[in-house]
Amino acid sequence: MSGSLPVWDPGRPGHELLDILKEEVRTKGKPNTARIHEIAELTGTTSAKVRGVIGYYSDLNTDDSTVHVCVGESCRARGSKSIITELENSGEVVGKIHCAGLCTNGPAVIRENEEVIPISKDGDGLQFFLSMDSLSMSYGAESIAQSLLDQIPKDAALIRTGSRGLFHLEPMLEVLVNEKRIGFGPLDADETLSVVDSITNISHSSHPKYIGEVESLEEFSSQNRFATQRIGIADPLDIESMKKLGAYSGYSNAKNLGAEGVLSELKKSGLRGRGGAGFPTHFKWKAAADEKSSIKYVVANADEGDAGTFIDRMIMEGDPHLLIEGMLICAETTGANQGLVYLRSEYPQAKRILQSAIDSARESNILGAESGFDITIANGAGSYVCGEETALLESLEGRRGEVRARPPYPTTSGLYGQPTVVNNVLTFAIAAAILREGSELYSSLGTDSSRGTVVVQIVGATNRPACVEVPFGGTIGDVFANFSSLEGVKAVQIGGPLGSVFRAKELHDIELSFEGLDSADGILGHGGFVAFGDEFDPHREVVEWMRFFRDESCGKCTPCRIGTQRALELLTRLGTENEKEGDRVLITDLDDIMTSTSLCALGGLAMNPVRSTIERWPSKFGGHLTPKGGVK
Amino acid sequence: MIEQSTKSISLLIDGQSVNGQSGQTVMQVARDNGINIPSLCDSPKLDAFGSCRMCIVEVDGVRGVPSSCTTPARDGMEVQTQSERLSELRKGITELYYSEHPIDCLTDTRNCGCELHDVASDVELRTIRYDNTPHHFETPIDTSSPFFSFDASKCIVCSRCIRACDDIQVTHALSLDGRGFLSRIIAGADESFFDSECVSCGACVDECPVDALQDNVQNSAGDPDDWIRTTCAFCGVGCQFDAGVKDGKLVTMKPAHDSPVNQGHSCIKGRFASAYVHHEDRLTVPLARNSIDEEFREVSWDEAYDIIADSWLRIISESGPDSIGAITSSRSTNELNYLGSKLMRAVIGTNNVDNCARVCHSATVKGMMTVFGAGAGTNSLGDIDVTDLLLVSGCNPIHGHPVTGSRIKRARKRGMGMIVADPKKTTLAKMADVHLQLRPGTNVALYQGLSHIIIRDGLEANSEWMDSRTENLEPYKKMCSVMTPEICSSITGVPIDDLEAAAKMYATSSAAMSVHGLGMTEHSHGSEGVMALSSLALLTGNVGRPGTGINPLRGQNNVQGSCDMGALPNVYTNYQSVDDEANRKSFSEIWGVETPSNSGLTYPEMLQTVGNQNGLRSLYMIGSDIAHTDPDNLAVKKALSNLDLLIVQDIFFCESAKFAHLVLPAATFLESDGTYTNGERRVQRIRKAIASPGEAKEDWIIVAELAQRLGHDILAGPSPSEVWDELASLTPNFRGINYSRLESPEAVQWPVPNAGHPGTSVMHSEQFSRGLGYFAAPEYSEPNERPTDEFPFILVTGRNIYHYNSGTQTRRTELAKFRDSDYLEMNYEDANSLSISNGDEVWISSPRNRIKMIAQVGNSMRKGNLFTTFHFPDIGINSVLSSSADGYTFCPEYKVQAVSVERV
Repeated sequence: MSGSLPVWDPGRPGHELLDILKEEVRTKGKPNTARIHEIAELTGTTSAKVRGVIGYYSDLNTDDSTVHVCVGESCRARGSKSIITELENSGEVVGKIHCAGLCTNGPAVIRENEEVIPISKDGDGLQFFLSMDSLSMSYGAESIAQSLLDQIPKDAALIRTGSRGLFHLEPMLEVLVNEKRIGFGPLDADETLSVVDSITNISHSSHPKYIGEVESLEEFSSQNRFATQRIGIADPLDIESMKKLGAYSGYSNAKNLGAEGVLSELKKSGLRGRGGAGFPTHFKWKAAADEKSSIKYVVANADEGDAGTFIDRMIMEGDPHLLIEGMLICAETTGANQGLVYLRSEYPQAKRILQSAIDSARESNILGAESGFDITIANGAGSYVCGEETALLESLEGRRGEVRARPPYPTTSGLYGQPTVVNNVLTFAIAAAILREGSELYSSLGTDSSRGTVVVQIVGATNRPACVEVPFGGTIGDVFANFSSLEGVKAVQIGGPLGSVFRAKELHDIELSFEGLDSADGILGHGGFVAFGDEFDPHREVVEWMRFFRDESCGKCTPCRIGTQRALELLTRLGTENEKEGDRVLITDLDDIMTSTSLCALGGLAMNPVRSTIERWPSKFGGHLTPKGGVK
Repeated sequence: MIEQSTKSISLLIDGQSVNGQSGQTVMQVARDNGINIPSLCDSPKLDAFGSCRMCIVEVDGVRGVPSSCTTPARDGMEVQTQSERLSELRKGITELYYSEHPIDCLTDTRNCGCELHDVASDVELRTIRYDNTPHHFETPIDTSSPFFSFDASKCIVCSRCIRACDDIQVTHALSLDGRGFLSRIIAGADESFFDSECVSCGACVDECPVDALQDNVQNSAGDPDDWIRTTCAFCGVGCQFDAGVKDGKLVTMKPAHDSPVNQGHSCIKGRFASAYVHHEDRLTVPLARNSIDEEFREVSWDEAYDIIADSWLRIISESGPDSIGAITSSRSTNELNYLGSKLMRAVIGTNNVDNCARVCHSATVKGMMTVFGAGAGTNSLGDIDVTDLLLVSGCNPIHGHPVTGSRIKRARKRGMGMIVADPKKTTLAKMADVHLQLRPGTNVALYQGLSHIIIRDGLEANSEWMDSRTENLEPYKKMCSVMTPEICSSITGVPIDDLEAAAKMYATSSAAMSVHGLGMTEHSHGSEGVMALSSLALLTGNVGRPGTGINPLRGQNNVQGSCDMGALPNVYTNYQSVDDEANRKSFSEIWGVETPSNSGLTYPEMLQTVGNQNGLRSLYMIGSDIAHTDPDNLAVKKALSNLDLLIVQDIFFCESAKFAHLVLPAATFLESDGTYTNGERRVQRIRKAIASPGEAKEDWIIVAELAQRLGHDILAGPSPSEVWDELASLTPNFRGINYSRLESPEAVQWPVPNAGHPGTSVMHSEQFSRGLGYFAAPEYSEPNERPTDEFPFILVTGRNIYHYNSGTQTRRTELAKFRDSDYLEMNYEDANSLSISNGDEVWISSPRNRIKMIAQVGNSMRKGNLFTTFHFPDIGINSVLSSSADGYTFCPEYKVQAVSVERV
């Protein structure tokens, strides 16, 4: 990247610096002073900037851990703590990570260098389909694939796809029989032979793991799949197959419509950004389109840091061309010439698949010099706040991921000061789907203020996790009833770590929409719903949330930098024997300051889960907080 | 060129109607209108940052409390900066700050002067409800710098220091380390400030709101009781400072925010190196001796003047007035240089007056005079802010002119293109689009080679420009036609691709500006080099407009002025020739004496005549130290020791004083009144801030008193102001300048032909000083100094940021801690072949002398080329150099010297 930086600026060495440092740390350990000077010289920056970057990113501050366990909300709810104890007792040094996007199957335990390349097989005979989504792999898809290879007929094909999102059936094997995709699951590796045999014998419908035609399953057919339409159907890396399923048809429609036409379609569709803020997409794209600049960027925010959400990862692993197409349409509309995907480091499989898709799009001249637009993947380095668009841009410039004050907005002055559209992966995916299907169909779904569909990810302490795309509207309780279950669920946190916490029974009164959550003092965020079960300890969770925010605060603005630390201290002692007089009003005051004056949503929403939890379970905190002005 | 259109807008702030400009933030409009909004991270000199959240306001129709520093001001906006709600929030934020800050700052009734304390007073914060447990309390104070310290426990992590380093100084020496609550300021790779890339400009110290970064010098001396605006005397940039004085002593030098020259910025020398004025080595009484073998004795001023008067009258009667000469100083004032010239011409009756600019920019004057008809910089430093392309030739402003260096780096950051022509891979060269790393001494070939490409590709200015503004184009084209890229490349050693790229960039930029330094002039063909560069600008129409031109970066503070004042053997003020009868007439008339008509000698010529019949017998040196600074200085010393009377007027007992019969103690710039003219022709005041030690006197007063003793009153009045008025009356370009015009922070740039004239930021815009621009077509010649088998290396000399030329001043300050010697920089390959390692002691030899130096091995120089600085007389690099010089001006070939190197 640095070769094409628009201006000379040692303060903005480019994202390459992070890659170089990651490799350095991985292979040689943390660089000493002399080495930092060398790296600075090599990357056109100064030692202070290199040291500052190292000091900022978690991935560049290695520990000697032998294994990492996810302590994100969903995995916590599923028992990270006991896994950690177990591993530590067995002599492992356990490092903690915050969400690997394996939320339905947590607690995620990650070992380095475990990358598995999914096995596949070509053939003209029977067509077997097996997901290679990271979650499917975590459920054991690869051992299914291994054993299948020896068992399926010589002319059969094993096609690796994305996941249908029916995690209670994973690992799920599909076979094309009489033009229908019939499924078996959840499968054990030792059951594959019997599946293959049952198909050969045409006795498959009596196989104990037979689930019938997948697309006819109630939990599947009752969805409205736009962004997720193609995931799980074909090999996402087979660009021709994907084209047959409509890939890049939205892009050709966009080219025919022209910029004005695309903006009009987006406006009519009512699409709002899915990163959390819900900003109307057409406004953002128009703002960038209106800028006069020879360099413009399109950036996909794939730093899906909210524990309990993984749909961006599923798109990148299951239908990466949809993301590419969405970015292309955006570039076509705004006049951008360079695209970047800021991908969190916890998603190695998504990186591999997306990169491969980008390569094949280049080979087809969909990307590259001929199309006037190209996409580069830039890897994150371990920072939650880099999911905030301006911190993300800083990180892309090879800087510490400190949030920028807005205005100027990125559409005016984004990456390297050039007009930049930053959208969430899911937003690009839906935009591409809208251009493919037409805005009318999309806007006919949903509510007045929340048009179209929402991808709901139900995870945590639930026996029926789900990832479903449904229209906005109806109650959250309905979604749980239709696709999951609230049985044994005590509390649900909606919208990521910064989201509010609700009692399970409240969910029947909250509409599934941006405005529905807003009126319930919550946020929709990225559509994550983390269920907590009986072991939910409100005080412990509140402290964990605040510790996470304290650790992840970029430190730029004072309310968040100091406030999260003070809040952690106050919350830790709240309701315990260490509580001090005045703490209850101090927390309320601090809440007000952080919520009203923080620079970005991290500080601004950090008190959300705290406030909502204490309100609902006051007895766990020695009673309610004192309202402002309650004590002078 | 950056063009910004702004329109006037009107806002209601706290019910008060105020005006601002579109593009401003609410904070800026409020500040401009005297409305104070509390803030800690905002600074008028820095871009909005929005981190402290103290400057929150309420805006009608806007939800929440946006920070005013990041909120664009809009016409018709209604803003509240004060309300109960805002106070409550600000108080809460301040309370958070204090939970992380030494509590005595809040509780101590004595105002500690920090901005956090001020804010706490504003919001009436009395107690802190949080635990006061700052986590950086244990961090030791960084006292590595002699000038300032860093106390992390006081730091509020506002990043103003980092932003100042990044965006004002552009050194990027600072950063935050850690994240969130653990964020802390670091220098370098978490090193001490002293060991980091920090160049001690002090911009961070200026910005620190809480004295975490503290100016130790001022701190230990106490707050000044008086501030005196003056001009820095450490280079030709001409930065404005307020000298802070307490009890008659200089306490601090504060860069002036309202000066267009430095815009509140400074370098280490400007801010910290003036401490030499109080050094114990200062000369305080006149010293005399009959012969240079004797010890000096202290004498009175009367006796000193008598000695000079008696001696000079005797010499004049024996050998005529031309056996006396003077070297005035580009470090001293315009008034001194004018009076020095008047002393020689009107009192002694000789034109033997020269100044030390002889050995630096005399070739610039010759070269630019030939092409444009004026030897001064055509444009202004501010043009760097707007130009599209900067061609930097033979100068290293990051070291030599640090404030301009930062300005260039800032421009580079905004996207300005840059070509650097330099044999050395300087910091600036590393950040350039194209680095033309030419062989030393091949400037003429380089610029004619670029012109060749421009002409070949038809990229020159249009025929209207050529016809209406230039002459001698055809001979020039013919000369350039010889210099094909292949030939140019073979002469200069610059790859053809780089030549092609540079030529295209320079010719096709809508405004291309050239700055150059002594790497252009200190050559055997320095004048021709400047002609070639100036002709390149003429060819492309890059002169006479903002963001263009040929702009010499003047080395000493008054190089421009000393020459403007006619302290040169062939011209009166502003280059009015002494050959011209009309000029002579007007000067004779005002001076009341007949002035000599024969041109005098340049000072290298004067020295050559010492010992000859009718040669020089007495030399009056004011503020120059040629026994140290001139090449082949063993020969210089020999000449000086053969004079009948050598008078050295200086602030310290310099190298030359060792050969003097009379040493006169002079005042420093802080002890003097007068004017300097910077490299962009800006005439600026210096003002007396402190008294001189002992009996030391201002230069101009000594000269005037000496003239008095010789029977002539050369003063038009009692102060330098009247001296200026007299010289202005004799000089059309200065006629509109007087001291009262120099009271404004921006002063004025000559030409100023009359009182109503606004001054001239861009010269030659309608026509050239000589009428038409003249394409000078000198033929390329090899430098006089060439490598031989015996002396196979070419040595280039130059400056280092921590020292000022002879180092007489800077070596007597804490700056010596940063650099304590001159070092020999050489290429890895050369070092390997001579078995020399980094840090080895080596011999540098030439036919003149052999000296020892420490080698620094690296890649800044090409194979076969060496570089060293020249600040330390004990090293004596100038004794190695030859007296080879520019054919037109005798400017020495400091930049090309054949030497040998071997390990000691």
